[in-house]
Amino acid sequence: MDYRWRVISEAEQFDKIPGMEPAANWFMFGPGRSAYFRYVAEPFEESPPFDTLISTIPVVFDYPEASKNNPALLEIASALGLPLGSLSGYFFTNRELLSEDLIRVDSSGEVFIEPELRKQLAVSRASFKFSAPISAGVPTVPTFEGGPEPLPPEGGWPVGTVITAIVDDGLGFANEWFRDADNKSRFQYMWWQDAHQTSATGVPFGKELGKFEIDQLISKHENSGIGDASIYREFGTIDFSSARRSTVALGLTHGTHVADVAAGFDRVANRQDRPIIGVQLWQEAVERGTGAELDIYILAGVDYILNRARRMSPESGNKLPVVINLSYGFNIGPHDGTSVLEKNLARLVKEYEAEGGHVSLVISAGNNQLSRTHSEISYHSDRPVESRDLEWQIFPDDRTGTYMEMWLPYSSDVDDANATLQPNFIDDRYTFTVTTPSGLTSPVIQCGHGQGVRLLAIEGGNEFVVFEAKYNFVAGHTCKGLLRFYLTPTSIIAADTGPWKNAHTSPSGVWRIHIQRKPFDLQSLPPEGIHETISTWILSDEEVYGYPLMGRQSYFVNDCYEVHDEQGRLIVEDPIGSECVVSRKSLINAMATGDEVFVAGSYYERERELTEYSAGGPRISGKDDALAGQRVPNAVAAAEGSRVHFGVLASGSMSGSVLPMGGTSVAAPMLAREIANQIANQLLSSGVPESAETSVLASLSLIPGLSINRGGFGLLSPEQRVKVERFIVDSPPV
Amino acid sequence: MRTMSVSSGSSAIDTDSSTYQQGDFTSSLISNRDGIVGGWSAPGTAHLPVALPQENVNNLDLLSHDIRADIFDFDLWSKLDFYFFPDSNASGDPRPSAGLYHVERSNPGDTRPTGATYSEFIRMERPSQSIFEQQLEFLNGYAALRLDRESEIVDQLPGPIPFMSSIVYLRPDRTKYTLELLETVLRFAGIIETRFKYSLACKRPMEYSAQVQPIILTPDHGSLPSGHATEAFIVARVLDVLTKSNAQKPYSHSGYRTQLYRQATRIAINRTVAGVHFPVDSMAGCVLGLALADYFIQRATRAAGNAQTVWFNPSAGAAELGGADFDVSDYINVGSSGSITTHKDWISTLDLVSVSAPSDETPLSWLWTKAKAEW
Repeated sequence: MDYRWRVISEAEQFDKIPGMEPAANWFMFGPGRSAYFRYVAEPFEESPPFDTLISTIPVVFDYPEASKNNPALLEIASALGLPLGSLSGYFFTNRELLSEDLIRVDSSGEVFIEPELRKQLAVSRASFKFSAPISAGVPTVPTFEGGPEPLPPEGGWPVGTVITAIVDDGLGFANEWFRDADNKSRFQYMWWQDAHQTSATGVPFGKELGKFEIDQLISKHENSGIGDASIYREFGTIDFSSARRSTVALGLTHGTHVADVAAGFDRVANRQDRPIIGVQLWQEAVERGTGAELDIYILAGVDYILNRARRMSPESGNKLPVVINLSYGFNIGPHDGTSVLEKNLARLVKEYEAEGGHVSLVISAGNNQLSRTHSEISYHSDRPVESRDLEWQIFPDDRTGTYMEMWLPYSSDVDDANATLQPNFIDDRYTFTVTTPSGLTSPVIQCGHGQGVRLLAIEGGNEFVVFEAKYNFVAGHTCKGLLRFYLTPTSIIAADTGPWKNAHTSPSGVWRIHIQRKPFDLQSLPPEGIHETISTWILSDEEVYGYPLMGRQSYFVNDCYEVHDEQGRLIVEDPIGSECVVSRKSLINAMATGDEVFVAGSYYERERELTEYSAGGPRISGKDDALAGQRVPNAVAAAEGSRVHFGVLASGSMSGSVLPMGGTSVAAPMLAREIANQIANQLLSSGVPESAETSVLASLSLIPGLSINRGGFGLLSPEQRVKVERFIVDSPPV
Repeated sequence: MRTMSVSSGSSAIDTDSSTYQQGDFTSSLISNRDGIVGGWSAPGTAHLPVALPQENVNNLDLLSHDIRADIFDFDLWSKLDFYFFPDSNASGDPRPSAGLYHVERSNPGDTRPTGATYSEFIRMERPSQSIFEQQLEFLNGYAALRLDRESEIVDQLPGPIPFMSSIVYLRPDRTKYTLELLETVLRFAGIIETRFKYSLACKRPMEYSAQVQPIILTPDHGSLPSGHATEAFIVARVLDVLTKSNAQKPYSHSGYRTQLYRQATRIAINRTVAGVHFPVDSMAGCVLGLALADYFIQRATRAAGNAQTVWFNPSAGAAELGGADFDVSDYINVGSSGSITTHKDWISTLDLVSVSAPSDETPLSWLWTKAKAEW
């Protein structure tokens, strides 16, 4: 196979639109296209993109408050029918909306943007993140109007009522741990985000059930058929005629287990004060293991939850408090609290709280501590500038694309925040080269928006793009340069009809990224000197529980990274003073570095030691110093019985089944349950829940050697774990 | 050790409790007799044994399990016939169908049989290729459960009894007649399902797509009806009726019926997960198993009345059937009676079939009575 490097010398296609998702070209015009359009019926192989596009593209967006009167944004908002004055949000668009005079993609795939709009968009720092198209007809801006009315208990919600909301996959809402003494559901609402289904009312796509309908389903199938499975078959989440995974048909499902840990109660306890709202994520988005596709669904899910919580709340007085559990994690994003998802989640929380509500968003820290997928390359102005190499092991037989994000340190020069003219977003501090496993080194990558290199495989006189590395300025609240790396799968099976059917394989082996910084200008250093860190994450590539294993997780293999110490023990945290470019820091869930969230890691209950996998902070520094503080897990929960007793016992998919599941996915709902308990206590004692989280954090215990980065404020007591009365616990309460 | 071998253990279905290893003793018994026999002395008339009554069920107590099996099988099977009705036959329905018939003597009572009437009580037709084509989608969908179900699928290869034993209390040493009854039921189901499979000659899923890739060896006999479904449902139905026949607690509780049918459903579906059956095979097996169970119970209890009939008629409602998954509640009233329901278009009943009620105990009724006494 012959390979050839080609330079991308200026912004192409979507990169001409400032603030556009850096991956847009790869996924809409490049080799990722068939994977991107996988779930919509598009004749994309034959015809140019957008020419016949009938699907809907979900977009999450964010921009700084100062830009709210930017004429370009006002114009786009008006063209799309977006609510003006919303600082961040999401919408669904299609070709018709894109092909205004402002922005146009013609039939040859060329992107045009009106010059003044381009300039103003650049100035606005608006950031737009696309997700894979869906086929349902979706309103541009979902309102969640219509849909079922809530069904509060007789006499209204008891004092101390707290809503627990679960956003997850494989959500067995009919399970008996979510029923009351009358065998009625405690689920008030359930949204199944099946993006293939156009919804008539209530939700923009998929299917919504209210408590009344859930109760009917439970009662109908109580004595017939095959138990809970009959309910899910009627609802549609079990459907073996569909290629979509019927995850709730598995013995153990992530969502049911998590929901049981967060909000499961014995029926006889009749916990009318703990209503539940559930969101079953779109399974296809879950299946795409990088998490890149989940933003919009998580965001829409939280939006929906708070909307329905408003509907459930009394007409006067405070809104019902809501504890939302998100046991999902990924490592795509800046990790400085400024991702479009994080900013939007924070906005939704603040909006609800401004209406007198209370929201606790609980997120799992992630299990990536020892994944070797993070690198930190630091430069100090008081030390000689040396070039660095990152060695990136790409495995054979990886049938999914592989991606890496290299976030360059924030620079006000690059951000050019005060520019009144169109900024150029050029970063001349760094240059890069990439060397393939067979030793072919790329031309130098200059950091100008849209510039980079791509590797072409030459076969039969045809050129196939198999690798791309490109610099983009990421706008929004992030305002950092991002070098994004893309690889096609290393294996595409013969006659594949799968998502990568039109792509060509990339070579497996060790890829080298060579990083060169220009010397510091010692004449103009600030008194404290300059300290910069380039932070890199390889994106998750392994498929998710319940889905076929297609990807293989790549990682860094620089020699400086020691897996074991001299006694053969695993090294779980970076040794003090380590200068290795491969790091165990900041592997925290990329969705968990923002404001307004509570993050849970995990520990072994019996040994009272942190688990090896539980990821930690800190969040990396960003544009806004206020965000640069420590973002570490707030607490660790006993998500593992002991080193030999895997996981926590809670419900399997079907009523009556009990199975262990571990990981920080289980730690988050333990923290969520405890926060819900504290909110209820405070509502009962003082009527306001404001300090519930503070009192939870204050009650945590500390152990020797607990690292701040991973352990946060300490251990959530094991007796606060799931329903002690239901299962034998591994150790007595301490 | 030269002794009787007794099979035991929760998974055993063999209740043959006495295999006497006679051959091993032959030569010593020759010298042994010579050593002790003494002079021949005739016993005399006074000591002649009492003659056994003829054609009497009490004699079954003297017989080994294997020999009894032959008698039960003959009694059960000798009143059956099977006919494949080809589409070339111009009379009546033009579609080919396979039918199981009950054969009833036309002159019951103490006269030699001279004639018989034939009543079709199970009829099955082969689904169209288009239905199998649509059903193929399910093989892909269900394959996602393989990791979850692998050990169950393998352990269910020999038959349903161990899995039913985890619902009702079956053990060789305490419910030996019930197990003997269930073996009879399984042999019965086995020959009938195989006869239907041969007749309808339906190809297996892997012959429709190379990507089914079953995780167990695909059997060489036809796909429809599913033998595992037939056997699981016949056992579930017979056990449900048998264990409730004395109205004893706890089996009087409807939960036993629900669990038996859930178990049968699980066993049937696991065959689709494994990649060797279409859901429509399970539908056919389910109703076949139920109809055979009811027929068996009627014969074994000497009950008067009409037998349950069933017509699996996939050309009725074919548009729905192709995309239909196997849902047990479409075929069985699990919640109350536990009998066949016919609300799907492709399931209907045939003309009533009456089965005679013998006035004397039959070998089958003897076995039923013995088994019933265990509950």
